[in-house]
Amino acid sequence: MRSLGVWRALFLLANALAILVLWAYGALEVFLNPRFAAPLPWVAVLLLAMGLVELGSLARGGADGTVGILHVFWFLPLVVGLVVRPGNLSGAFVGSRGPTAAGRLIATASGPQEQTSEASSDDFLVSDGAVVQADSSARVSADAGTDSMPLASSVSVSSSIPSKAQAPPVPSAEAPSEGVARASAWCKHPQPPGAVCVDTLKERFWYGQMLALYTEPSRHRGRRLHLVGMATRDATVEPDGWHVGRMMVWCCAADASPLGLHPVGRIEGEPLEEGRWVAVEGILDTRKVRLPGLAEEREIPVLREATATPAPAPQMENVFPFDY
Amino acid sequence: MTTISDIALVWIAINLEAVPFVLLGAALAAALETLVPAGRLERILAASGRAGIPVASVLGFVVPVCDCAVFPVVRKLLSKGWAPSHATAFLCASASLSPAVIAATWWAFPGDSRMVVGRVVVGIATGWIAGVLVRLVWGTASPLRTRAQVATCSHGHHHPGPGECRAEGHSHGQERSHGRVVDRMLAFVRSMSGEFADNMVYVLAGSLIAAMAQVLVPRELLLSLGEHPVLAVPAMMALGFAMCLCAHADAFVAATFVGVLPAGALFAFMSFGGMLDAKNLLLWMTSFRPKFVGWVVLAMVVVVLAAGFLFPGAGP
Repeated sequence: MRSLGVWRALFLLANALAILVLWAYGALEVFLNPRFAAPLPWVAVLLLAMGLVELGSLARGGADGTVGILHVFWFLPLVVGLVVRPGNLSGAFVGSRGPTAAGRLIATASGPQEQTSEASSDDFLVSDGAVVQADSSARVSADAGTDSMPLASSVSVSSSIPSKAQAPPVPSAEAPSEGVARASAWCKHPQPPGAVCVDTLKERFWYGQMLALYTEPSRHRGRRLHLVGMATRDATVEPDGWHVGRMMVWCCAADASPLGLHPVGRIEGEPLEEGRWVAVEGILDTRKVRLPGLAEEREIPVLREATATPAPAPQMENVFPFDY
Repeated sequence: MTTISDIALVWIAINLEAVPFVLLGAALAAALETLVPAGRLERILAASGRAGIPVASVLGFVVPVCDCAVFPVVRKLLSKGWAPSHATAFLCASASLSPAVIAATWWAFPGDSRMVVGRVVVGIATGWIAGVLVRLVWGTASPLRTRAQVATCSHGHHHPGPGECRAEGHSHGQERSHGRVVDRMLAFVRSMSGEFADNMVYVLAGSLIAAMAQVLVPRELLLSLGEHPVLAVPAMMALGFAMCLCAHADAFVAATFVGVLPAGALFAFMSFGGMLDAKNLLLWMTSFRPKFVGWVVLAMVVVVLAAGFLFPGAGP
């Protein structure tokens, strides 16, 4: 086993198998945006073939280089992965990321926030289009941009999503006047007296719905919202405040940033705890806050009169900025 | 324990993301090695004269390589006798010019052409300036370390260790000249797995450093530096270097700082992180002479730094 070739072949085969196992369990999305995970099964098959060719040519004889200490790294990820079993990013990591995603969302809505800017309404439609139509037949304008993303392959991606994520949209919702595409995304707002319709933020459409909330917070003021997220300490709105959100993964877990809402004031029910998953229901309100580096204050959505109940960690903890 | 779990998660994630691109680079390098008839590549490379640096710095538009994939290709071309200055230009510029990277940047900053145009312009400029610098201070000596230089062996199949030439037990020397298609394909696959496996060692090692930096160094610290008018650009470049993001991803991450940090700092983060990060630097150090790496990195730092400070428009 002194020969490097044997170890190289083992590296190729073992890592190919590891990728295939992760893929089979739908666990690639813990690490990667599904769009970037899409080519990985094919890569694994290729690595498998490469490993077999390597083994085959070794069998025909042939010496090669010597094993160095750095070659430990070929197998270290497998060992670490098996020992540590990294499930999801911890509360401490989520907390250390700060409200940067919120900052981006606000900044995307260029100009005064009260006006409906062109960009924000487009993004609104993307998310809602996805709610109405889970397949690609009802793509709306801004979605063309999504298709230009590298490695985009919505067909193979959607097959690897855990079935839980494909739950139908909120059935109680009703169409506001703006258009058909928005039909099932949100409750009618403002609601007729007596009606209680709760907007549930779904992981699948998290980004689109958050984008809508952050770009036009005042427009959604008064909605009753329900969301499941990880609670972390966050002093953006209140000195002793909290943030309940999900990690949004653009590309891979290395670029994950939290995206959610700040409950403000007294929080009823279960006391929040750093890094714990909670279901929070409250009424959407807005607060003017100063975000780091920004001169003027910005209005961001917050949840008031929130009630927290303990919730199990969802099957897929990350959310992704594309409809998938 | 949660810290270890976070490091492991980020580490494995960076690698899962890099694997397809490292594989692409390995495939291109292997194709250059085994599928291009012997001698032809050397003649083409030798023929590229004065126009070499400008051409090499825009080659990235047509050769779809990002920062993970460019290295094996450049190393292969250098071992075939490509001029160091031309190779440097390609090495520095290509990641910013890859069509997929341009598309990702465009998508991350909708309606803000400064970022896309800036990235392309600065990419080309970095390639050009680094190439000229290398021609002036380095000359034509091979920047490959001596072990790697052996890679120009005649049967040239498989280079364990970065570019090291392996003494094959069976004779491959014949296959290239009158090889059957199957043999050539096998040689291609073996060359590809050699390149891939050897590069992954350093990608894995470098990304571990990046994952530890991400989890252990509080991002708040760098972000608070980012608010400083002068330190913003270098701090964000350091963050881009340490985060080890894919060139396709760093535009999205930069976009999460819009409105929080000045546009020039965001641009420097995206642009520098796409050209160089911890894992690439480790990869370079194993194959290139340290002095050569020093000159190239210096050129990159100076150009991106200047671009960050001169970036048009002070934020939104």
